[in-house]
Amino acid sequence: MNEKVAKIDLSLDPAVTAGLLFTFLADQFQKKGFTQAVLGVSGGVDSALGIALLANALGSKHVTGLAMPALESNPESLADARLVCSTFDVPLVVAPIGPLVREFFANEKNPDRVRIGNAAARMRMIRLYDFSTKHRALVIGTSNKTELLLGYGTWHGDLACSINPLGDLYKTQVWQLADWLGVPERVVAKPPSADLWKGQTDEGELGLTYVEVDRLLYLLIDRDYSISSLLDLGFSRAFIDRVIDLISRSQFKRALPVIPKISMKTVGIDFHFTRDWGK
Amino acid sequence: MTPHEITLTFPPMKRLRIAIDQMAPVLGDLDANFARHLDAVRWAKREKADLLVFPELSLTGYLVRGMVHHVAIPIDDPRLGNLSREAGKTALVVGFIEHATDGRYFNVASYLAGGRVQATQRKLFLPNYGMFEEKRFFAQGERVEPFDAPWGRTGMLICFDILHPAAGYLMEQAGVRLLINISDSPARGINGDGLMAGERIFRTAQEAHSRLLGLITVYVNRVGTEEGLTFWGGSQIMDPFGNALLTMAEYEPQRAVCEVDLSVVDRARTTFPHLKESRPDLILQEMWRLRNGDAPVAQP
Repeated sequence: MNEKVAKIDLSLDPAVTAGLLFTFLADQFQKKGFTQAVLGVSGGVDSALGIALLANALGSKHVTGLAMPALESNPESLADARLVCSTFDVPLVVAPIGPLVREFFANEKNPDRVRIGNAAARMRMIRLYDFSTKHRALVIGTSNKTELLLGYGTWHGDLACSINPLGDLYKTQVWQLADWLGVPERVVAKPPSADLWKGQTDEGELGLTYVEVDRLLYLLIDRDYSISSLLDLGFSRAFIDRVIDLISRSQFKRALPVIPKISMKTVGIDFHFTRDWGK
Repeated sequence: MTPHEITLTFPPMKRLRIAIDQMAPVLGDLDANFARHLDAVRWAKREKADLLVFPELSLTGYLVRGMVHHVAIPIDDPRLGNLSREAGKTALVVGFIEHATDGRYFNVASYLAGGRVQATQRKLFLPNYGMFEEKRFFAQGERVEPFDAPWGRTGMLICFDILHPAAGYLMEQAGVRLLINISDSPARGINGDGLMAGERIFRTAQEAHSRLLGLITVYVNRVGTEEGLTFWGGSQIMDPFGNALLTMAEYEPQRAVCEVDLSVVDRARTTFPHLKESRPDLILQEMWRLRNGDAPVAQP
């Protein structure tokens, strides 16, 4: 990363950002008629920030963390999940999904790890929504903006939620805000990982660093930079192409299913209705 | 009579008690919002306010979108008159969706006094980019509609109108001394310096209008959330010297009253006689030329 790119500043005013998110979460829970929140807690920084935001917005008694380790998950992740929940005084429920995934593939010889990873993410989704129904708790997502844009998440798996307070924060901004809100340093500092198999890291799997890709995404998406301006700054053509390819290939994950238009008012096309109607 | 020479039939008030209800409407529920307005009206009466201002679309909420026709009301809707009658001597500025007699829908601000709607300003500049899609649902206003209130000539603009300097300039040329901007501005563009982009641009616009046009400006922004939008409040009254006379809380519902000395407009226009030096004829001429090209040279 050259000097010009390194100078691109994505830092937020953490007090203003956190204040907005607290207000937003408290108001949306009131509007939706829920007092309880549930979210998956992996031991990573995204879910830790989710816990910190919700504990501040709703009060820690109104938040439950669900740790759902897979068979291959690093045991340290569960320890970090416990650390996060105890830091914010939020109850933690441990509900392993390893046996469910094993059972799911019981009759398969060699399911590949992407299938196993997706199944694990979707088992977690089932657990969260079952908890949601049983305890009348709203499922909170913790996919950050970098992941959403690059499509680094499982459709109907970890992407499934009712509210995602992290969805407009790049990963590097998640680090900043988590640190500011008192997420334990070891959780903020450790290499991000989906923790679906041994040694998996986000940056290894994506083949890029968050520090660099966040800057590219910020300029490309938020600041409407042209490709030639990005090249002038020193981003490589291959890197830009790869990121644009990841964004465009994953657009389906950020949209409703495609519905062919037949009537005069079609869901997803011209039925412009707001969820908060009457609230 | 030039447009700025106004004949008032009564001696204008010297001081004006302005009340602001920085509130969050219920999206799409007219009954609930009329009830909230009534509650605020009773509060403002107790406060002996001369004027109570609500935010943009205060009777409907902002993201009405495809449901516009369910909550649009005609200007002569009896509930508006009733609200004004309840308010007694307190005049009101409310925001709602006008269902015009020709079938179009407008995002409007209405001035209510004496038990009826006295003036209505249709939003002139409808934002239609990025997260905004107002042109899809609303028709745009075609004229400024200043009105004479007991405290002098007053103009109403709606949110983005104040980001287009021409609207405020037209109000100044129409003799306005008090400019009210009702707004539904969502927070966006938070960076590292404590001010987010939405706040920065509206604060800048308000100060520019106050100082450059010699106006008392009343900016009333809503709070609350709709979908992913969080409205930032921060309503503010500013005098023509750029002094904030009242600055309300950000993100929180709040009611506040501020007494404004109206003579400050004359003082400001003496110190900074922008109005005296403004050149509407130059603007007319140059706008004509820019749109039509240079006029052909007259043949002898």
